[in-house]
Amino acid sequence: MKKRIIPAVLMSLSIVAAACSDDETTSDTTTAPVETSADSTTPPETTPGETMPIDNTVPSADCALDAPLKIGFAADLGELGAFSDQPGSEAAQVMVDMINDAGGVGGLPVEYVVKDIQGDPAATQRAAQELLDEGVNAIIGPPFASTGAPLLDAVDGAAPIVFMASTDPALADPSRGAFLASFSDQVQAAAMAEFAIAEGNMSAVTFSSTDDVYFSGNPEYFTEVFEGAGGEVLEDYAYSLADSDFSTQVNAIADLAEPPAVLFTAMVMPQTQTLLEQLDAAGLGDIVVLGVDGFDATVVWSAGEVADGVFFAAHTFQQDSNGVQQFLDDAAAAGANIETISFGALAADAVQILAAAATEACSVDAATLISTIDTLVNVPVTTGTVTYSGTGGVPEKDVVILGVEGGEPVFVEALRPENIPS
Amino acid sequence: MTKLLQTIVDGLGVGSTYALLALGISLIFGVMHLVNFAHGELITVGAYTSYFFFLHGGSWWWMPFVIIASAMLASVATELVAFRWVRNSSPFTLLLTSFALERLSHALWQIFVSPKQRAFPKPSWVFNQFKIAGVSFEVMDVVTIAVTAATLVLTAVIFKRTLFGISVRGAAEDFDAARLMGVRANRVISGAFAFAGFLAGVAACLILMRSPAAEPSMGSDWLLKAVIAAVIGGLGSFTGAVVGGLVLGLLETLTRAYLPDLADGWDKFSTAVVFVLIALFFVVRPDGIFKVSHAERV
Repeated sequence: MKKRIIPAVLMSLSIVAAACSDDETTSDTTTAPVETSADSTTPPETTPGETMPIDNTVPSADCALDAPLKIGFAADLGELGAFSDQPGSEAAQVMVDMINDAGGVGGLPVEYVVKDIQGDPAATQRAAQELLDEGVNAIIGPPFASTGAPLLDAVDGAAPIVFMASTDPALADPSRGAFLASFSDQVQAAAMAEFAIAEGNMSAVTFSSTDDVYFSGNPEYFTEVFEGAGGEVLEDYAYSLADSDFSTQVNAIADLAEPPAVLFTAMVMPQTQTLLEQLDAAGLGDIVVLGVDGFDATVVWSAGEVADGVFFAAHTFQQDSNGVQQFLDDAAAAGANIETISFGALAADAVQILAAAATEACSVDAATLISTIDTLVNVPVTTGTVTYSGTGGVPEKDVVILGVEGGEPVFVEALRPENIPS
Repeated sequence: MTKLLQTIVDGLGVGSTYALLALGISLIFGVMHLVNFAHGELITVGAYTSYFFFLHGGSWWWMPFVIIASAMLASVATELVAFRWVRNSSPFTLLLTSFALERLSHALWQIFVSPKQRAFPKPSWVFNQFKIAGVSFEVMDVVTIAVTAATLVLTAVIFKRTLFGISVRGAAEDFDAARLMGVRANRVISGAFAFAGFLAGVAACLILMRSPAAEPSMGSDWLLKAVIAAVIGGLGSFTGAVVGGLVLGLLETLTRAYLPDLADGWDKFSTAVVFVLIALFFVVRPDGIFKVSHAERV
């Protein structure tokens, strides 16, 4: 008997552990409406790199809703997407509370519910159905297409979906109610290519992996823009996400007739650290390593001294000209644990975008929200401003380029690339 | 020639780590007929142990002992808590139990530590290089090969010269006969798990020196390679596990280094080519390099 009980207990523990990671949280903080100041129909004019100081909450226009805006977050809290969705789900809660403290949307408090999709397509579709059954009228989606596409299929236009941290343009489809909160891979790779050229770097190598389109697409887009601007990509080196040794590729770079000026990759830590260390050890430390938002998500500066001189695309950085620091301060005061600034701020953006659409349309009807998001122009959000009008669901917004100095990320510039690959 | 030598050393370095892990898998398969899919979690245990110790002033001077001890303890614990109770069940039940342990491990680290990666310092010399006759070698590759060689010699001595080792080999060949001859099943199996934990601990040290970070599912990639290496060598064969690991490591690095010479961009197919070669190999030799015979109950 005992022999059967112990495995049963083990299996039960496994199930309980999984269940614990499937926490659900709800919020419907009710506060009195207060007067607000801005109007999203008269967008503020901004230029790249200059965002207007904003109030982090979305102002409510002269609108009284019959039913509250109820936002569901289909969050990947325990698998690959946790880098964004764990801080993101807490940050979204903070933004919901801030909006509610400022009077809510249409005079009603915003409601918020989180469902863990466990990085699994089937669990994602179950979570989507549960969210719809619970009456959510807008959804924040996970970062990867492996779960984002099933979410889109399950929701099928029954609510707008804003993919908070995804840079995959395949998930942007306004005709199905799907939008990104961030720029796309094409945009960030193009920004890094134009940045490299502007700095006078005319030769490059890239590292790409076929394990996911993120790791192969970004180098491809970089190459297109870099070579279009007169640069030359000497080689593209393949790697696998399971690799822990890049000696073969580093030796091949060392054997090139002329070392490249830059190395571009979408690699993430700790692989990036290994690559940087091996380049340095092979006497190739002068090559400027460029990355995309994966460097930000996995904190490339934690690699220490070897990461100094690295540059990467990021979604935001706290500056006087944006509301990020204010949001982080408010989040800290609320006790939220937002480890990754960019992905906390993007979640706040997603809530603000949905709230702006509900305010603008004065409706929480799904079709109305979708068509309204698709026409938003220069909406002030935590990371700056976003425009969806005519963009196919990928917002026009700045790419922030950060560098690493003294083991810390530092702001370099914010730009909108001119040549974006299709 | 320089490129070939560097590639071979790289391949032997990677393959050595596969060999250590594959040997642990083969050892457990030998005594229990279990392909232990929770074996990779011992690397994760070592990684989080390192992370916690480094938070409190850890040093790489003594961290390898801590990593190895933690992997051994975790390995024995899995046997005591889980596998002992299903030992006489079907292989499928054993397999499911190992999957349950693997999933449980992922969930526990995610819930009680973080789903995000936790980094800690690495030894400063790991990526240093030295030259012999104009050929550059990485210190860590040489250390990995040397440590693996020493560990394999120690393993050979233990399994050939000690009562424990002979008991394990006897149990691997015919467990029932070994028990009739006085071999104590619990002791042998716990010992085998402890030794598999030791091997995983050594592998974890080598992995973590190069990639000093802990994350919940980090053991899974290594486990897959280790299982493939063990199967190439012939499941249950100790020599086969080592040869399988080295062959896999060499195949990976050689294809990555030389496929681009055939055509631009072919290195993207290196993983696929490795798996095609392995599949072709199994068509010719389905039992792996070394066929292992086991006594079966009838």
